[in-house]
Order: sequence, then structure tokens, then C-alpha cells
Amino acid sequence: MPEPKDKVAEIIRDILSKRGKNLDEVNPKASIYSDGLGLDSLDVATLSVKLEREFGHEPFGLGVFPRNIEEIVDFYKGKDGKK
Amino acid sequence: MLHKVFQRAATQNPKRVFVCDGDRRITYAEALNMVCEAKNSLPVTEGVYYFHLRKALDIMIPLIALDWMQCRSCVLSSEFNSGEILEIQREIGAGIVFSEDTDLWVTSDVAAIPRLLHYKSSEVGVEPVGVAGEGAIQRGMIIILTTGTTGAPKPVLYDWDTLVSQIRSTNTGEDFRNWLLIYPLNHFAGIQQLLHAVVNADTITVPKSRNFEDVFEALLRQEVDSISATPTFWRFFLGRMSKENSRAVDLKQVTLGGEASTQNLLDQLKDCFPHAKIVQVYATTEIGSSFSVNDGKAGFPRDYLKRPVGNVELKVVNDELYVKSPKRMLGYLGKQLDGQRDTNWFPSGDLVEVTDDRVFFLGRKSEIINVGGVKVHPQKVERVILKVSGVENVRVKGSANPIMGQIVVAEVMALQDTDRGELILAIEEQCNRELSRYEIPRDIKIVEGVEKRNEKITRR
Repeated sequence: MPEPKDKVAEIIRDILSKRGKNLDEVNPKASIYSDGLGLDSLDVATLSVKLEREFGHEPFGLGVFPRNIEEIVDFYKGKDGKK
Repeated sequence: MLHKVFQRAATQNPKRVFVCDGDRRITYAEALNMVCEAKNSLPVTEGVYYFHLRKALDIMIPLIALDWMQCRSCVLSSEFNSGEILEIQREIGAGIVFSEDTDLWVTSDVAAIPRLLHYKSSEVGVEPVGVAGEGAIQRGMIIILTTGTTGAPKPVLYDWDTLVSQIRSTNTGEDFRNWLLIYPLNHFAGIQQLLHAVVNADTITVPKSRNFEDVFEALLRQEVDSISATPTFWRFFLGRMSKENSRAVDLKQVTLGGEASTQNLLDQLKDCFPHAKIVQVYATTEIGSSFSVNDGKAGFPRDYLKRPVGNVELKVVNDELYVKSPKRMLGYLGKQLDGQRDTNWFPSGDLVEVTDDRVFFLGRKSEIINVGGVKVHPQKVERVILKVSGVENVRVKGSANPIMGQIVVAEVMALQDTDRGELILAIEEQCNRELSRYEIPRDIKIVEGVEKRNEKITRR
């Protein structure tokens, strides 16, 4: 099982590459939005679909807008009650 | 008529700012001069004046001038490429294309002119000379592109008089607004925003971008006090806004349109902008601006079905909302123009639920997918995916999404012995090449079978 952090990073790298931005590494602390990695509303919609597919639920539908990869991972850790 | 309303605004409020774009502030008086100058310097054509430009002001000024010249204008998406523009010209007719795209300048079919208008400000009252096409059309018109059921853009024809008459003046003479321009001018909603501002002598502020940071910055500096945008825009905006941020800004007016608003979103907006008037507008390119709801509740009062409201009359037949509007489009270009606007009921394509006191929107009657206010045709997406080798069948449909309202998803049946991973990549590539960002499926699933009813693919 890949680490949630790696999986989330992979999903985001994949979304960015479709926009022509190819990154080898994404900083887990960098904002995923227009003040950082540059995801717009359509990209975030895609992210919500992919996260739901991967983890069974996703934060945005609950009104939670995580700022970066770390906060997305925290969301899942909190939800799953593992930490 | 647009030019007359504009002249009135400029005469009554010459020093008010018409457009604010970065450091540039153009007053109504200066803008009127630019309009006069454009009227004198625009090349003459009996055809259509197409605008393929990025800067809103570069479009707005000639639009007003061309109404004065009684010519036809058509604003194109700045994202169109030269092939798409040629296709549109073939459908709508030849004309002059104003474009920054140097590719277009060498295309022989397109009379392209580089930024021919160099605006400068001078005294008000320059008397224009030379009227192109005078008498030929009699009044200024605009062609607004929509997307039809087959997926090809449909050109909708309006005269400016009708469009201006749809706008209700809200200006009491004291309370001027400063609107942030969120909609592009090739959209009906963008043209409406322009007209609303001109009728009320309001200011239009052009944002650096539609990104949260730039919009928030404009709010913070109190440049703007009103924003009209889709529920998707607002959902994303509120999601990005923190509690502390929300206390720093306020708005006089929040307008929503293009998709149905949920009660949850309306409540959140009221919470975030406690002093704002929250207005939901119902408008389509074909019917035009129809009516608005200001009570902060989802849907609209059932009472609206019993009396004329806004610009229209409403009725519900078989759960579909029908609209009668004397102010709707003249017709689709190329089709027989419809002279019976007063008596004809127009099916809106929106399904509604009528309760004791309220009418709620349920979705579209057709299979059109509403992605953040942009209408996507599943058949068009299916045609593109079916081109990919290895695809046996495909079903494209909308899926509920917390950000965009709906997104496009595809269920693909693969031919035997096809590598699923490679197939998905090939589909993604094909879609990226041929579809706009809104049309590209955000999720592609490989399935064993595609659901059919009466040999027709079901999409809902």
C-alpha cells in the first residue's frame, strides 16, 4: 500500500501534468491553489473525484478546503482515526 | 440604443470611472471619446465584426461604437484557435476579425487587423462622421454563441435595443456600484454585466485574473463592492476564504446565475457577506435575462407562476419550466427569424419541482451536463472517445461534484485484449486534443457493460 502522502502527491502531479506542468516533486507544504501549485476550480473538482475514488470519501464536499498535501493527508488521518 | 444609454451615462456622470483595469482608469467621458474615435476609425464592412481579444476594454468600446454604426458584432472566446474561428465564420458569415493572434493575420480567409484602435482621451463631444452599413440593417445587433444540442455553437441574434430593455435600472442616483468582471464578454452573462453597468453608470473593474488571490485583493482594497458570478465561482471562493479573511471584506451585492443555487450556498454567502444583497438571476442566452430572486432562498416563489415577473411570464408543463418573453432573442442566425416573441412559450429545458409555496430547480431535461455554468453535450464527448482504438462503447454523463456542481465522467467498455491503463491514457490524450477543459471527462472508468434503454444509452 503506498503512503497516503505519496498517493495524494501522485494524483496532484497527474492533474498538473494534464495542464502541461510537469513536476518531479511536489512540496507537501506548498498551497495547491493559485497561490502555489496553481490548481483552479476544475482541477480541484478533479482532485475531489480522484480522492474519493482512492480513499472512499473526500474533504471538499464537507466544506473543508485543505491548503496543501499535508492538510489533505491530515484530513484522512483524522477521519480514519488512526492518529 | 446601447450607444444612447452610454451617452446618457457619460453626460450625466462624465467623471465616473467606466472601466478600471490595473492602473488604468477610464472615465465615462473618456470612454465616450474612445467610442466616437472608434466609430470614425473602424474599417467598414457589410459583414460581421468579430472580436478575438483578451482585454475587455478593447472589446467594449468598439461594441458600443458598432451599435451606433448599426452593425453586427460577435465576441469570440479568446481561447478559440484560427481553425475554430474559420468554422464560425463559415456558419455566421464573413467579416473582420480583430485579433492579437498573429496566426490569424496570415490566414487569407480572415481579414485580420492588428489592434487597429489606439485609444486616447480628449474632450467630450467629438462629432463622429461616416456610418458604415447605415440603412442596411437599421439597428445594431450582437451575435452571441451558445452551444446547441448537437454540440456545435449556435449563433443567437439579438438587437441591442432588446438586450438593453432587459436591464432594470437600479440606480437611485447615489448608490453607484463597482462590479468585478468575472464573466468573459463572449458569454451572454458578460454582455449582461456590461449593459447592467452602463444602464446604471456603474464601474466595471477588470480583475488581474479570476484567481482567488486577485479577486480577494480587489475586495480588500475596496475597489469593488459587487460581484456577479456562478454558484461554482462562489463555492470555490468561499472554500478558499478563511474565517479571519471573511471579516476583512464585505460586498454590497452578490449575484448568482448560470446554475441553480443551493440553500447551503446562499446561507454561507449571507454569513460571509452580511450586508450584501444576494440576488439569484435566471437567464439563458436564448431567453435572455428573465427574472431574479432576492429573498435568499433557493428556487423561486410559486407565486411567480401566476403573474408576469421580471421580463417574462412562467408556466410549468410536465415538470418543465416554460418562459414567455417579448424580450428574448430574435432567433438563431441562419434560421427563419421568429417574429412572435410576445405569444410564444419557450421551453427552458429546466426541470422543476412545484411545492406549496416554492418552485425548485431539479436539473436539465436533456442530457446536457452543467459544469460550473458551462453546458457540455455528452454526445460530443462520446464521439471523441469512440475514435480511440480499443473502445467498444462509451457512456458520458454528469456526476455531482461539490466544486463544479456537475463534472463530466465517462464509462468505457473496452474491446477484448485491450490494456486498460494504456486505453485510459489514450482516451485522455484524445480528449485533451479535441475537447475544451470543461468537456474533458474528469473520471474515466472501464466497465463491463454500458447501460442502455431502448437501444439508447442512458445518461442519467
